Amino acid sequence: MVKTKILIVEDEMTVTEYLKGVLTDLGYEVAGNAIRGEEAVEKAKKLIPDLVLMDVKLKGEMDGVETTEQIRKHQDIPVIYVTAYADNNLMKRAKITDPSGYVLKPFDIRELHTTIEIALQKHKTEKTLRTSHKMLESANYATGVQSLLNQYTSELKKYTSIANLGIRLIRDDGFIPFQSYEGYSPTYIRDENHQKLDENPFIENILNNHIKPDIYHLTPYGSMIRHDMDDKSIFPSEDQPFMQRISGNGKYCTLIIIPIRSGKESLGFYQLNSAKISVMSDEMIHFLEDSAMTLGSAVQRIKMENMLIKHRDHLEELVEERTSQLRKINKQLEKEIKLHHEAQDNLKTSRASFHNIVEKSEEGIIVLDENKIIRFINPAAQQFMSETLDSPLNAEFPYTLKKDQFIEIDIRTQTDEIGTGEIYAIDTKWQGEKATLITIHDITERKKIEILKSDFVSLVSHQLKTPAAEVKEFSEIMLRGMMGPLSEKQKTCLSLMHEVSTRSFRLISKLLDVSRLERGIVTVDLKPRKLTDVVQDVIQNHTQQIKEKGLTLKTNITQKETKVMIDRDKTVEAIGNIVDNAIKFTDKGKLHIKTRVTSKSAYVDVIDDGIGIPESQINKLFRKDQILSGAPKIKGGCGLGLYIAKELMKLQNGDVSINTNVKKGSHFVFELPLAKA
Amino acid sequence: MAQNKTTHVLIIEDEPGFRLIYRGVLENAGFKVSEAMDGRTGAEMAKKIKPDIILLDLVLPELNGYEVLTKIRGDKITENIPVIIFSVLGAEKDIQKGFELGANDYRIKGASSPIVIVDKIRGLLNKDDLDLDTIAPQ
Repeated sequence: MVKTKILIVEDEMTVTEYLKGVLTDLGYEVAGNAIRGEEAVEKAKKLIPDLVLMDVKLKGEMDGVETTEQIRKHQDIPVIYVTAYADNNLMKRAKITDPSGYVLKPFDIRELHTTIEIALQKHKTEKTLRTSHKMLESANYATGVQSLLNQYTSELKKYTSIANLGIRLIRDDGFIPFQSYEGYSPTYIRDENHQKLDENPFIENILNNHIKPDIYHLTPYGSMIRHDMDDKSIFPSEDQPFMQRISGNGKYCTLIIIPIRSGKESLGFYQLNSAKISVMSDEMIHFLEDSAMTLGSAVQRIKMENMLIKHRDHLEELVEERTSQLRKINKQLEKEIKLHHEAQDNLKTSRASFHNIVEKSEEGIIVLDENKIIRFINPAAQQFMSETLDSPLNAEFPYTLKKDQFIEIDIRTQTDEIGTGEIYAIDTKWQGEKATLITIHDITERKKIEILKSDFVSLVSHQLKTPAAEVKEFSEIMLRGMMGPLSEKQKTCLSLMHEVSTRSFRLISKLLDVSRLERGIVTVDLKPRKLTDVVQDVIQNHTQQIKEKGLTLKTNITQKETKVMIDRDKTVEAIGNIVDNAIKFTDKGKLHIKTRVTSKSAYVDVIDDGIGIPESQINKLFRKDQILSGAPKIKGGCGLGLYIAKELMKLQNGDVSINTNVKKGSHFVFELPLAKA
Repeated sequence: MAQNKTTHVLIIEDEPGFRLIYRGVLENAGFKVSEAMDGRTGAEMAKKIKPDIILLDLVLPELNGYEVLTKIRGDKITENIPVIIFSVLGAEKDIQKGFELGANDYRIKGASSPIVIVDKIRGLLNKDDLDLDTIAPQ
């Protein structure tokens, strides 16, 4: 084992020789000695001793304190001062040089030994601490502080021989884990409201100010002091380590608390529990205080670094968050841009397809400006308009427009025929200006079909009636000699032709009337009419016939101001049908038409001197099926006239009936509703 | 009589039989007769020859009688020429439409003697004279 080398600096040779003997006996190696300061500095460099015993008073220019300072400039060697008396001024200076210990003359060998040992141990510890301190500078808080604490704890325990030593630091949550002893579980110190210490830092009260006398009441969960402790006299002086001898369960214990600080901030404390140590030396306390101070600043730096790291991490988090937000926004933006592009594409497509539609449309499309000038015309419209305009673009539109109305115009169809177009105008905008949009629809075919459909009966009627009418009229004008003279036989034949064609013509007409009546397409327009006017119309229509037949017409028309609520044409037709029959069935004699008015209705009587109606047929009158029954086919009568007359009268809230109380001829009675005055 | 010159009648009729009949009737009555066989030609002729009166059939090729009537009434040259529709069609709505479009009279072919047409023409043309007589001081 290598012996500890000691350099003796002493200007009295007798003392040097004495020390040499004692130190050798104690097992140290005396590396050398020096009398003067300069010599000591040189020898320290050369010999590299483990420890220097330095006489405070030295002969020459440098005294012991100065020599120590010089040595310390170059080397880290523990120095113990040797002095015979306490010169206050000199001792103050000596203290500044941070010596490892003091030895008084005359020497107590045991004390000398202890002091040397403590100095060596202390030096070794501090050296280790300095190394670990450096190590910790770059370490993070958790591992840094933990390894720091481990280091300190083990060194402190070794040095102080106090096994039950704990370093308590205020945790992030503001609590300090406080180890109770003698089997009590660890607990926390809280304030009276169980609040965190950083808000009402109880530990600061303990460490910075005082431990208050009521401390025991404030720590109901167990405390640093035994529960059965009744000693309340804890009054440590300000800024001093707290040391208290406490008792409980019949045992005694010393509790030492040494604050760990950085500046004024309390970071925690050393907690030393010992049943063995009753009083700790000042030197030990100082050493612990120094150590606590070093630890305090180390912890503080780590704490700051940790905060910086946290802050940096937080900053990174913020940056990351912001980045992700930006990424999100960017994505959204990209999406929007994509949608925008899509919309534009769609617009282009729809514009193109719109153009296509307009160009290829069979519908004519024209846009007029406010002055009716054609600003746009599609090919279809150009074709339609070619009948009226050679170059339609920028020409004036030649038709008067009516808003919200279809107007029919002549057009040239796609097959170059003249047809009908239907135009419709609506307000629109053209290149930002007010305009009129005109559509032209070719309705040529539709019109044809429409006519076909709506006038189907008319057409059938026309096709059937035309030949009958032609034959009838031909025969008539020939009979009149308009086509040259005729023989008697020819006249007879033509008369028969005329009669047959007349019957045929009437039959067709009546059938069509029935058809219309039954399809319900006959409507009546009821208005107050003068009864006399209606009857006069009937008479006028038949004057020629009556004259031709050589009959006498007798009229009895009274109540000239009486008005009836009827459809004039329908009533004239209904009465006319009966008069027709009367003329037909009366070959000789008179026809009597008269009017009557009661409080209820107006009446028109048509009475003739004709052949009358057989009783057996009366029930069949006014019936449509009569035509099929083969009943009175007398002289071209088809029998439908009565049915039509009846139907027409019923439509007008009137009636027609036959008076059966006649001996000769027939008597029909029309009932017409009176118009209310 | 007001007619200093021969009354000129335009018959617009596609059926040859009727053309023959009415030409006969009208010429017999001393009128001058022109004929058109379809609606379009009829309308054009009306403009060209400016007849005193027009007999107009309804069911015609090219343009139907109503369309011809519309054209006649829509043209300054022909708008005042009296028009008598003569047709085998005689339903109420046919007659009503004819008058709405500006026909002066309506005759259903085959319903009465074709001679009636002469009276109708004379009636229409003399009506103006009667009116003039009424207005003119005696």
